[in-house]
Amino acid sequence: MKSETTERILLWAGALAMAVFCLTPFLYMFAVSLSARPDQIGAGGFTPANYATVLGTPSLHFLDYLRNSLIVSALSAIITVLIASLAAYAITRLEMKGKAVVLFFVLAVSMFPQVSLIGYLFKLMSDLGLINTYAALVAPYVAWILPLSLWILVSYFDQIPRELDRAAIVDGCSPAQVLYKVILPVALPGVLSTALLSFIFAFNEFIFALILTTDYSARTIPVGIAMFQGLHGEIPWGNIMAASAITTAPIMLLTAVFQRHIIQGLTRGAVKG
Amino acid sequence: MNISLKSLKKDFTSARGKFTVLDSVDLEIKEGEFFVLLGPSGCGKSTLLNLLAGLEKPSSGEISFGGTLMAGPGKFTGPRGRNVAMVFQSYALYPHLTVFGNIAFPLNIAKVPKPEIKERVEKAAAMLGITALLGSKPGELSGGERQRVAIARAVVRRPDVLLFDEPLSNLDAQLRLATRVELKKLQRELGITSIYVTHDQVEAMTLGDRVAVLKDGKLQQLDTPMGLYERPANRFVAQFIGFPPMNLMDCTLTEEAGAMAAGIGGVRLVPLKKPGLKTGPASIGIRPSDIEVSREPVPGSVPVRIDLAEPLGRDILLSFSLAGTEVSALTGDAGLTEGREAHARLIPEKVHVFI
Ligand SMILES: Nc1ncnc2c1ncn2[C@@H]1O[C@H](COP(=O)(O)OP(=O)(O)O)[C@@H](O)[C@H]1O
Ligand SMILES: [Mg+2]
Repeated sequence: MKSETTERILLWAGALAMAVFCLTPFLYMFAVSLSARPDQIGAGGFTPANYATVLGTPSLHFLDYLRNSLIVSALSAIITVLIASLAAYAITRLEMKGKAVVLFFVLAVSMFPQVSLIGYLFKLMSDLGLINTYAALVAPYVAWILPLSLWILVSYFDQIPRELDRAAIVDGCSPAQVLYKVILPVALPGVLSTALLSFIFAFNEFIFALILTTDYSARTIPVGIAMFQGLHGEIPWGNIMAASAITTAPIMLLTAVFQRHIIQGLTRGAVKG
Repeated sequence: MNISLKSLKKDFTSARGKFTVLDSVDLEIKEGEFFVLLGPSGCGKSTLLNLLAGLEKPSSGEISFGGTLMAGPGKFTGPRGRNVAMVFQSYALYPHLTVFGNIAFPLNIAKVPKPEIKERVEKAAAMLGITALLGSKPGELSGGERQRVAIARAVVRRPDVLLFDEPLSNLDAQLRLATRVELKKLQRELGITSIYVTHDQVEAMTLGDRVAVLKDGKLQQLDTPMGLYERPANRFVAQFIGFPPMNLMDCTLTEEAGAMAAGIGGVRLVPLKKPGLKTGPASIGIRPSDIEVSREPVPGSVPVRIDLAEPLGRDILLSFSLAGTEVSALTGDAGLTEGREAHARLIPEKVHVFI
C-alpha cells in the first residue's frame, strides 16, 4: 500500500516535471505573442495584434515562408518515403548480395556533419542555377533524411512475416503489387511515422535553407522568422512569437491526424497471435 | 490436374556452404488426389511445396502440371502462371483487409469483375461457415476462424492445385480434429488435386489417399496409409507410422533344418516364413499390438518381467526387456501389473524384417 502510493507520487511528479520542462517555452511563446508589450508580459493587456501584423503585413512575407515550408517539407517527405520504401523492400525482401554493407554505408553517410557539406552544396546549386528554388532545398533534404528513413522502414518491413509476401505472390501479385498492396499498407504506421519525421525535419531545417535561398520565393519559415527585423534593427519579439506559434500548428495538426495510425499495432492478426 | 516430379533436386547455399534439401525426388500425383507429404521437421517438406507453387526454382529436375512443363532445364513458370493456391501454417492473412477483402484478394489481383467477386467470396465463405465474419479484420478472429479464412481464400480462386503447409499445426487438439474432418470433406466435394504437408502421422494417415514419407530430403516410401502401416519399406517408416511406435530389434537370422528364425544372443525369438531371407545380422520390427503377452507360457513364447504398465484406456501399454532389448506391447489384461513375470510371443506373420 505504502510503496504503491510512493510509486504514484513519483510517477505524477515525474510526468509533471517533464510536462513543465517541455511546455514552458511554448507557454512563454504564446504569452509573449499575445502581450501588448512583449518585454513585460501582461502589462498593457493581451491583444491578437501580433498575429494580425504577422499575417497581414505583405512586406514580412510570413505567408510566403509558410507556403514554401509546407511545399518543401511535403515534397521532401513524399520523395523520401517513396525512395526509402523501395530501398527497404529491396533490402528486406529481394535476394541481393551485400545488404549489410549497403545499410552500414548508408548509416556511415548519415554521420557526416551538415556544416561540412554547406560550401560544396552552395557551389553545386549555384552552378546548376537552382539557388533560391524549391529543388535546391528538397534535394539535400531528401538526401539528408533518407538514411534514417531507410533504417526505420527496414526495421518495420523486417517485422512483416515473409509468409505474407509468399501468400501475395501465390495469390498472383507481381513484386510491385506485393509492395503496394501488402507491404506498404501493413507497414502503414511505420510509413506514416517516417513521413511525419521527414516532414518535421525539413520543416525545422535551418542551415541549408539559410545558405541556399535568398528571398521569399523559396525561403522557409525558420530562416524567415530569424530574419524578421524591425524598421530600426530592433528585434520584434511579439511578431516572432506569433509567427512561431502559427508555425507549430501544421505539425501539431499532422501529428493529431496520424497518431491513430502511428500508434496502431503493426501486424495485428497477420499471423497467429 | 496431375503433377509429375522428375529427379527434383534443391540445394541451398548458406554461410556453412552448400547443402541439399531435396535429393532426386520422383513423384506422380494423380488428378483429384489428396496427396500427403509426411516427414519430420526440417526434412524439406515446405521447400517441396514452394517448388510446386513456383516460389522457388529447382536446382535440377522437372516439375510438370498436367503434362505441361512448369520448371525444368531452361524453363520456369512463376506462381502467376500456375494457378495454384496455398494455405500457410501461420495463415498469412492480410491484416489490413477485412475477411471479405482477404478472400477477394486473389480475385481482385486477377481483375475478376466486382459482382462476380462478391458472389464467389460469399459462396466460399458459406462453404466454410464464416459468412458472419466477412466484415471483421483478421486480428479479431480466433485461430480456427483465421484458418477457415485462409482456406476460403485458397479455394475461392478455383485453383488447379491446392497446397497446404501444415495448416492445422497451430490449432488446439480438438479443433484440429474437427477441421481435419471438414478439410477432407471439402476436398472430396471440390475434387481439386491437393498436396498436404504435415509432420503428424495421424493427420497423414487420416487425410491422405496416398502418403509420401520424406526424410532428409529423400523419398522413403510412397503408398496408401494402410500400405505404409502394413508394409513399411524401411526402419524409418516403420517407426514413424503408427502409435505406439513399432519395436525394432537388432537380431541374428539363423537357419535350422531349412526353417529361418530370428534370435538375439542365442534366444530364439520367432520363426520367419518370408522367402528370400539370408542368415546373418538383421533388424526385425513388430508393432506393440502384435506381441501377445500371457501369464502362462505358450509355444514360442519368451519369459519376460514387466517393467512398466501404462493404461491407455482400452489397452495397457507394457514395457519389458526382451532378450536384452526394450520393447513395448499392448494388452487388455489388467492383471499384468508392474513387476510380474509373464510370457511374450511375437506373432510370426506380423514380423517385419529389415536388412
Ligand atoms: N531459403 C533457404 N535458405 C537456406 N536454407 C533453407 C532455406 N529454406 C529452407 N532451408 C533449409 O532447408 C531445410 C528444409 O527446410 P523446410 O523445407 O522448411 O523443412 P520442413 O518444412 O520439412 O520443416 C532446413 O534445414 C532449412 O533450414
Ligand atoms: Mg515447414
